[in-house]
Amino acid sequence: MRIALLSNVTVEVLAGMLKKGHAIWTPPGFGSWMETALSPSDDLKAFDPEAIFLMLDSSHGRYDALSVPNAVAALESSFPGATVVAPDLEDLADEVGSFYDEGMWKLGSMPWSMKGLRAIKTEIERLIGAMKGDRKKVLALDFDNTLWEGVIGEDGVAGIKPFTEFQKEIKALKDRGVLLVALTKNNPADVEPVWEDDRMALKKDDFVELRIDWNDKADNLVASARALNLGTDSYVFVDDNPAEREQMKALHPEVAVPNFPISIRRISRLYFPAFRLTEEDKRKTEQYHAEAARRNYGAGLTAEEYLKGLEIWTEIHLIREDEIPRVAQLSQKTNQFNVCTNRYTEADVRRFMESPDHLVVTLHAGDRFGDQGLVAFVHVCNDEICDWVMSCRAMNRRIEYTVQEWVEKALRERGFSKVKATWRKTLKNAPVKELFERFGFTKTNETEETKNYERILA
Amino acid sequence: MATENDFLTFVAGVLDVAPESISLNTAYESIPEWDSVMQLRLTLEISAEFDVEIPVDEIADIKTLGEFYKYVKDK
Repeated sequence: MRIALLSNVTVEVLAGMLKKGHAIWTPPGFGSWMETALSPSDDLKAFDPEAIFLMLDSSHGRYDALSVPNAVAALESSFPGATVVAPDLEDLADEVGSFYDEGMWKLGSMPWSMKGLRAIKTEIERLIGAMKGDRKKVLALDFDNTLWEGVIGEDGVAGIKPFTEFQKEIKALKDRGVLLVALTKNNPADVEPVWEDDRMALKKDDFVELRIDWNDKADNLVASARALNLGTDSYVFVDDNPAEREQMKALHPEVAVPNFPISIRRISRLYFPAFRLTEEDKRKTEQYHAEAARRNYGAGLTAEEYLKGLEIWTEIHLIREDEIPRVAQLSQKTNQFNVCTNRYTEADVRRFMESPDHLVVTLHAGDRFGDQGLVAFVHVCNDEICDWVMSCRAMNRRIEYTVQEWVEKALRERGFSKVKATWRKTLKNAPVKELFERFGFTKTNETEETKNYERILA
Repeated sequence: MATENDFLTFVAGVLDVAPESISLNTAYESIPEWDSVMQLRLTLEISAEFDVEIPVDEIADIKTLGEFYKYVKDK
């Protein structure tokens, strides 16, 4: 990956350690990170970074924390193809210990010890993984002694003390797209009055799923994942009870189970790094609520009646500048409705958009229950469909046919008389195994792992 | 104690060069990989890997890999 490191201290040593796997750009001298952020040099522009890390040290270096969001925003606007992150080095130092080296600071304006440097390197590698889509989506929360002090079934609302600040921080995570699920053993009737309490920063609507009963938490987590159409590996489970944590770890090693107590600051750093948000991210909880309303509405109706009654609308067009982050995100996150499962960065998508040989078509959809946002894209290179990707929440609504017609029409207008396509098997993309058959394509080749197709454009 | 060979293999990894291309006689700035930034990194990497203390005020005087190895050997 092409990485730019901006910092208020010397980062050459760190750059040297990262060089093996990546191309690294560092500015001449240090301390000019803010100037670089506000008006990037031609050198940095030519480097065309895919990731920009602001390595801001507060232990020895100085910087104005309030100016960081401005710097991030400026970089995001100068480098629309790059992901910009300011890793939380203070929290990392706190977690790792022996993070600094006074001698190195005096000698080379480099504050970190070898242990610190290695931790930073690992953190950067982890964040790169997160940029490629390896990240959590759901925070599953226990209630008693986790969201408040006390046991609501025994103490009642008046007897508990909500951890208001902790809850506010959780709410902030929710506001940037983290889904909250209640995973708690209580009588639902005991919990109900708590939502009226002013000391509660979290409200009932902030949760996409309330699993409040006496079932096994592991079973409830699986049921919730199924309801949300997500993998259990998207979950982080926070519970004050070590027995519950150990059981979850044993039954579901793919679920992240941090020790407790833990700060939301650390949860945020470890599991939910804040990258550039898409509109879809901010509205995610709302969209899941709409999805639940849809499911209720569908009960008892035939598929035909259901689809008709939804009043589905679609809007299809060639990709626009402001859609690049969302298209990259869809390519990263979508596992089921994804014919070739190519993962793209924003820089990749931008390249496709700007190339005369590529065509990227986006689909926006919604229904009477709400706007689902940008839910699908098709990427065509010359006369070959390289990607056909659709969010799981838009599946089973037959809108893929409308998009495919649009794409084929666009190809005909470009003078193509046939279109090729490929399906490549992954663990999760069985739902699109027959997609091109349904579109009326002819199979030209088939193995266990791949199928190739072709269709004459009439 | 780490042998000369262990030491050179480790240092070659840090410098990102072939182990056979360096020896204890390899000197500072005699190969492009070993510049002043690498001097800091070698100090940190060697201290951590072999658990030795290299005093900061001596770093500037280290001119060959053999002089780094001395700290490891004398540990």
